[in-house]
Amino acid sequence: MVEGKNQWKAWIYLLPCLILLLIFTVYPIINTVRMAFLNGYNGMMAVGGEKFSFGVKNFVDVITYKEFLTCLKNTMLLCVITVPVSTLLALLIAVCLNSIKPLNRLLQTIYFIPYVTNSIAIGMVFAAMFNIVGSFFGTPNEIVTTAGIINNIIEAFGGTKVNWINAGSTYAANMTVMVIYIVWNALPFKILILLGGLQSVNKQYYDAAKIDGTSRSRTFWRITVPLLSPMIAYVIITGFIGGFKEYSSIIGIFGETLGPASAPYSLNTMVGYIYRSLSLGNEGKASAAAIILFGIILVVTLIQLYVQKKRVHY
Amino acid sequence: MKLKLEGITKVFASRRQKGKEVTAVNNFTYEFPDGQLVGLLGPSGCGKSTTLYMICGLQKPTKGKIFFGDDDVTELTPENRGVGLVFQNYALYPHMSVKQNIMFPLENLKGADKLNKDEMLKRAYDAAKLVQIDDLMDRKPSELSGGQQQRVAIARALVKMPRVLLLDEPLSNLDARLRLQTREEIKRIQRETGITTVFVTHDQDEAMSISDQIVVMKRALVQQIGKPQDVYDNPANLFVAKFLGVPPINVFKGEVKNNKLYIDGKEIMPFKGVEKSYEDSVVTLKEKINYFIENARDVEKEKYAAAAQSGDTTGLDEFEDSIFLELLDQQKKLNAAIEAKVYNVYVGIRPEGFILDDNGNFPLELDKVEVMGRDISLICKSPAAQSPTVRAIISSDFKISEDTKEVKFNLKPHKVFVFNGETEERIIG
Repeated sequence: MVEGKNQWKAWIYLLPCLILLLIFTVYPIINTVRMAFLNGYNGMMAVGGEKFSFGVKNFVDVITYKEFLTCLKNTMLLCVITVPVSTLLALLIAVCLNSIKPLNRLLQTIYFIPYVTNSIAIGMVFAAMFNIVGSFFGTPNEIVTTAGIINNIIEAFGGTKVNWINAGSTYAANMTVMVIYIVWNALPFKILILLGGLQSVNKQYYDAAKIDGTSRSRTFWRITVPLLSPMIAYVIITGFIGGFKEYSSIIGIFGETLGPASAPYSLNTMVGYIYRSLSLGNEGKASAAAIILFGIILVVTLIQLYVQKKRVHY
Repeated sequence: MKLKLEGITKVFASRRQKGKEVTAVNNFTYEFPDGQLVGLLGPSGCGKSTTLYMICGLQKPTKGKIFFGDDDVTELTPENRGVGLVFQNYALYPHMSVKQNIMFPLENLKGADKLNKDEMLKRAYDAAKLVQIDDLMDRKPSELSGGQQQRVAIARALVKMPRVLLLDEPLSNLDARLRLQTREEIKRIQRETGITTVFVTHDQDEAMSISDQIVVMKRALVQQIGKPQDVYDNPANLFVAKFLGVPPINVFKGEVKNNKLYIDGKEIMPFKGVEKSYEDSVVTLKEKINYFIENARDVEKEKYAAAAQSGDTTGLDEFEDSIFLELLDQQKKLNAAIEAKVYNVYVGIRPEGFILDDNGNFPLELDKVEVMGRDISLICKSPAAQSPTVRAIISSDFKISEDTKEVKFNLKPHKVFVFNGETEERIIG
């Protein structure tokens, strides 16, 4: 505890950080709430001296708008599918990595690469891999040169090409690509956390289990998973939060159309909607959508914390 | 169930230097008697825990065989050996209740041994009752005291009725009072179950008080095996004498001349047979050196043999080959001593071996008097002593005045041990 006399010193040390936080975090949050509750708020008109009435019209507009509901559905779907899949995969890979002695470091590094790679760049690579015609447009007269590597592999095994992301592709195909991309991109962070957790587990638990003749699968489910449960909970919560904020991956794969050329914006997400509203000058709607997104994340996280209290051990 | 070790040896790759090896346990042969409690005792790094891990199967001996009864279990995995191990920090699963922890080994049983839920519960409660924790069954380990956790760990080890029970430093995580209580408890549990039990400790007090047999180890080698009292009364070498006994034995530098033992120039007692003993030592030391060379790795055999032949130790590493260098050094000094007929010995005198006597022939400068109630400790000084103080324990019936400067003692002959000054082996007079 700082003595009263010296408190001003502490404040001076904190000042640079506090100023930055006030300007770039606290003020924007307050302003977002303000804009959300001013009916039909528009930045340009506000500068022009226009006054807006107080109300919940922005929220009503957002919720009843069809495109927003598409965004909500996409976001939810991505979260619900990718978080469990990526967590399970990450757990599996982390356990495998932890039990390998040679090349352990090298493999850890390799698995971590996606985390430090630009997600737009990865998205473009994915787009190329899942391509069907070697072009983004797929217009009838375009010269078809080569298909993406995924379709090449499918054909090599005697399958037929799938239109994953090009014009005319189905929603299910689009989603599949998105899920694969997001899971792959989410793995490194999760592996890192879970591997750290595994390495801090006391080896004697495994020795004890070995002496008691515990089978490998039982050791995994009855000892490893419960001991890792705090890390697993953390990874799931941050996974959901990240999932709700998904946007750049869609840009990466589909470009600015946020969907195949035949169905633009069909894969838009909540953040994408907020971003588009902003660029169209609908700051009020964007703010309302941001607050709705915040509310959803808050509720989901609270539910998870509640479950965690019951399920996560010690 | 008898437990027999036949020449087990464990060699690890050295962490300090690549390609080098460190012997953790060297040629350990012993038959642990059926239904007894045996303490493996030694300072840290002496190989006692490695021995325990080899018995339970978590580590594989480099050489040698392990038998449970007549079964050779050397190649068996831990779960097929039927051992119960209590870890030093108990290794209780923190997310399971006491009951689940104890039942966990039973749930792993397969095939004909498989138990139904009721049988498991009954066995778990039986084990819990034995260690008196049956009222704590629904708690988590974090809600238990250290002593209670220890009992849970023992119950978990006992519940599958192991052939051999192993305890790794069972008392080291408990406070002093609990330690006394728990060691009685371990003894009681061992008696009641009659399971052959091996425990590892670095605390001689612990080992002496509850073991039926103790095995004293130092630097991978077994120094002495026997009943605690026998080992205490008849230490095989200076290390064992120093390691056992609280307060520790007093060690003096002395000399044997003309069949008499001298400390600090004063004649203490007659002592015969030192010449013969020194000559015997030459033979045993030679054997030790040969054994060491024989058991060295092929790449090093020649190097060691050459060094033993010529006495030239330039090619040896001070750290890696320290044991061998020490042996050579002992050999050199031993031969020199025999040639010069100078027998510098170590004399160990137990604190209880002093008899206060005004006409005694062993005077010591008195430093201070510690009154313990039951008896008195006289803290003395002697230039010949290895440690700064010499402790003599005498009955509190004696009254020592404050200003006494010197006390004179006679010695109880069976509390005085003489050790070879070079090899530190006991010389029986």
